Amino acid sequence: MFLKEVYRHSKWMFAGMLFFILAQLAVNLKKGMVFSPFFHYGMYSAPQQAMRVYDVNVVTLNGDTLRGKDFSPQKWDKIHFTLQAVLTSSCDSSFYTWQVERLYAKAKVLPAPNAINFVNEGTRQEKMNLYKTWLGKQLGKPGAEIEVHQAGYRYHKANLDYEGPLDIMTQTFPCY
Amino acid sequence: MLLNQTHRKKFTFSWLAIFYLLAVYKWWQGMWLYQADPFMFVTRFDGITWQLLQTGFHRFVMQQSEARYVADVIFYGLPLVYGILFLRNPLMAAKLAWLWLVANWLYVQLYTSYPINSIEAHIAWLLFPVLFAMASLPSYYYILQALRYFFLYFFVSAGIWKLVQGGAFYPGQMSAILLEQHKEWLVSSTTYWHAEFIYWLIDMPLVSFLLYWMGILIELFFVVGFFTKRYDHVLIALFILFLGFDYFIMRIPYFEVAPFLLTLWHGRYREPVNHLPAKEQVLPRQRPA
Repeated sequence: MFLKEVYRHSKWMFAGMLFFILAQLAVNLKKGMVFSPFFHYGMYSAPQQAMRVYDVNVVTLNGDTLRGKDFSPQKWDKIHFTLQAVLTSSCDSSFYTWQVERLYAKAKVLPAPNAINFVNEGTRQEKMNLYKTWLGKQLGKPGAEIEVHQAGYRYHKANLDYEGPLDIMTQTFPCY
Repeated sequence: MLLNQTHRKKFTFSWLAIFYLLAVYKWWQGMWLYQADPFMFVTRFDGITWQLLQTGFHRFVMQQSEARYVADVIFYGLPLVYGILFLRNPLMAAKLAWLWLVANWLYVQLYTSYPINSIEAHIAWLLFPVLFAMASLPSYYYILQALRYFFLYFFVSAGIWKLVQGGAFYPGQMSAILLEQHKEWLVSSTTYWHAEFIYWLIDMPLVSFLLYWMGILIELFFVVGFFTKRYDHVLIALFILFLGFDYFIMRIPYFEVAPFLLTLWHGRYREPVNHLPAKEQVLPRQRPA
């Protein structure tokens, strides 16, 4: 058996590997928090039902909608991951209060966390303005007019049909 | 065949070739830290990451463009320094690898604390410096095997999660995943052939569910590697197929786990019997006369 051979080779290495295996198992069994490099590799594992209406973010540059086909997956993801991070950052405070602060208090040995290091400062509008400035630079068009909208789309017969506009600035997310 | 220093050399330079190919690719895609130019961070549910966030280092790097350049220079430069040192003085190179490990940890934690990419995809950069830090060939052999086992686990656990959490038993799963994953892309590129293909998959839940199951079977097949190395070449082919499908159907570039492929390729070598002291484990052409 491999671990037996490792034990014969070096007890330190054996202890290290055993720790790695046990920590990985513990993170898997606990299912919640991870501790790098111990992760869950369970993406797309939970049953996912099609939604009635999808909230779709639409970005325009000088009035023209950015089209996914003009971007590589990485570049497209960068545009939309960052936008999603702007939108969901409204959860930063509650995440900090309900998870970071609570768990640091529980750990006791760790110094109290500082909210400024865990919560992005500013209102959604301020972050959205930063996003537009950032995106203009990323697209090689600093100062260009960038707008972000959100609309509802319903899936119907191999197409996503436009349902109507949504207000991106007031959209809420289920926070922790 | 027994693992020897020539295999080690081949492994090291194959690894460096993959690293720098990916570096060029990421630069081309604007994925280096200085190019990402982040203006906000994300707080993921990771106890180790929190320790870094607690220092405020990520905010400093976010505000200082010079710091991002320095971080990139260190992350993309250290492997080259290691490679050069490995040829001239392998023992010194092994020592440098510990520094490389720390540097990679900081960089990956930092890089993924901005909304650029997930940390799971960067697991190779977090773990491989440990292998390169092994001065003696037997230690190198065992860490190489351990990384091979980790890679097998990585795939098998992904398959098991889909069975345990139930996605594998929900027929509409893949159609729903595709819709959620690509909604912005689909809406903005309706008539594009690739988008039409994805729409077709969404509209054919049975076909897309079969694809989902094909992914699960590939992932679960990696369990074979725990019992025999005879099929490692099949696993390599399946891994490449998986990466290709992930890119084409999910538009997920998961290429950063590619270095693990080398553990399957080189894992076939047997344990070296020559247990020389670490200082004598030098490359053949540099062995003292």
